[in-house]
Amino acid sequence: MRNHGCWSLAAVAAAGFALAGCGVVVKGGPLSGRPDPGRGIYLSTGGSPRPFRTLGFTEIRGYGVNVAGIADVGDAALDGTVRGKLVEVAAQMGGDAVINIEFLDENPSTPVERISAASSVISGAQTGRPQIETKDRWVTVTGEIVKFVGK
Amino acid sequence: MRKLVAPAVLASLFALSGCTIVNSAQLPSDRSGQQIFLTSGDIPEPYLSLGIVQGTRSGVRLAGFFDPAGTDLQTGLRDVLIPQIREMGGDGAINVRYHMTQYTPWTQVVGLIFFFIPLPTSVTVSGEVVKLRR
Amino acid sequence: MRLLLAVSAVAALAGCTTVNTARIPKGSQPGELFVTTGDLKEPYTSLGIIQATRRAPIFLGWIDAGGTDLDDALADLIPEARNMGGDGIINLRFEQIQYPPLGRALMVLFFFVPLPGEVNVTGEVVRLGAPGYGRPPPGAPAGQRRY
Repeated sequence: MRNHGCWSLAAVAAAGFALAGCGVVVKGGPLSGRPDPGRGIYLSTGGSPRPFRTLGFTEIRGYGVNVAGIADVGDAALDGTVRGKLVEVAAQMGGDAVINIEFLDENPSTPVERISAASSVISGAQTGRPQIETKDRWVTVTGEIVKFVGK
Repeated sequence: MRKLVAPAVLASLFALSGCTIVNSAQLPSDRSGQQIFLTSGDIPEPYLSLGIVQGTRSGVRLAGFFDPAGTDLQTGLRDVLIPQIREMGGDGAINVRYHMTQYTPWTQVVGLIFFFIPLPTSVTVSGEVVKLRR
Repeated sequence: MRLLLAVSAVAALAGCTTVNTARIPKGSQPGELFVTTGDLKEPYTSLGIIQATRRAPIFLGWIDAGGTDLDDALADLIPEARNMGGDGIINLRFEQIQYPPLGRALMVLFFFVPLPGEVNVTGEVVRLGAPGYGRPPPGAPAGQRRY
């Protein structure tokens, strides 16, 4: 009877943890503020601080792999695509800024998924059959590349 | 040999894991009236909204690399959206949104090897067509 | 048989439009963060970009125990933005998987198959004012909001 009660409690606790661990927040570094600091390519999820002429549009998709729920390798990170690749593309086009930036980390791993992947490594190691779970990761970023006009 | 398999797999994963696909469309424009303008944001001047438009061009990639239907951003914006704006009598489009199918170089190489299996691809563009009140 | 008829009736009467809403704080209360899908014309300092994702199965078509709607994602996002020292979140974008009532009703029948639920909310965290750039530019609003 006591064992049954303990198992029920454990099941409820596990379910609670599983449901609580269904959310994840990912963050990227600062973009440019307003007014334009005048340092490098201006980046904003909003509009341009100055009159501009549109040079073009870009869509960037970064691909990476999450290994065993622990390590993220590759280019599926917000900073790398937004503050890295997007700036590079804007510079190549001769732009001064990238505006109306939209971004989406398509499948960040929730705590539950990370723990599940890590535990399969551990259980695989214990049984003598190493199992490394990998998960494809994608980040998509779009933006409008512009050149400031006037003063 | 077995001891080398796991590290070899890991090394391959690391080697193939980094990958960024970049697609751009070079379509210079402004609101001077000399050409159809496109912007992904709003505009500060008065305008008349003529409607919203969304266009999708679908096709296949042959041998991983060849896109005969033209489903990239440049073609989508230039050949799908801009003609539509002209047809509606607009000066341009605001709040333009766009998305195209992007395959990693690895997938494209696999597509080249299995050249008899085409890869589905498409580009979708949308926006609000406006006429400037001048 | 009766269950099937009941589900069919629900499905027939339900229609095909799904609507989800979420209230966003206006920042009008002291200490409250503001959230907007628009841009900001007044001076601000960008603190970073942020995304909240929630993913969990939906049981019996309607039981969203993991909280995969817009309200839940905002509940994750806002405290993180506050921890970053932000006064608000601008250019908020959001998407949530939405199922039509017919689809949900069918999952009552196929109760052993959960529906995948997911919501993503993104935005830019900002702090009002631009202390790093000296005085605000001329023409800034006289009564700036304080939080």
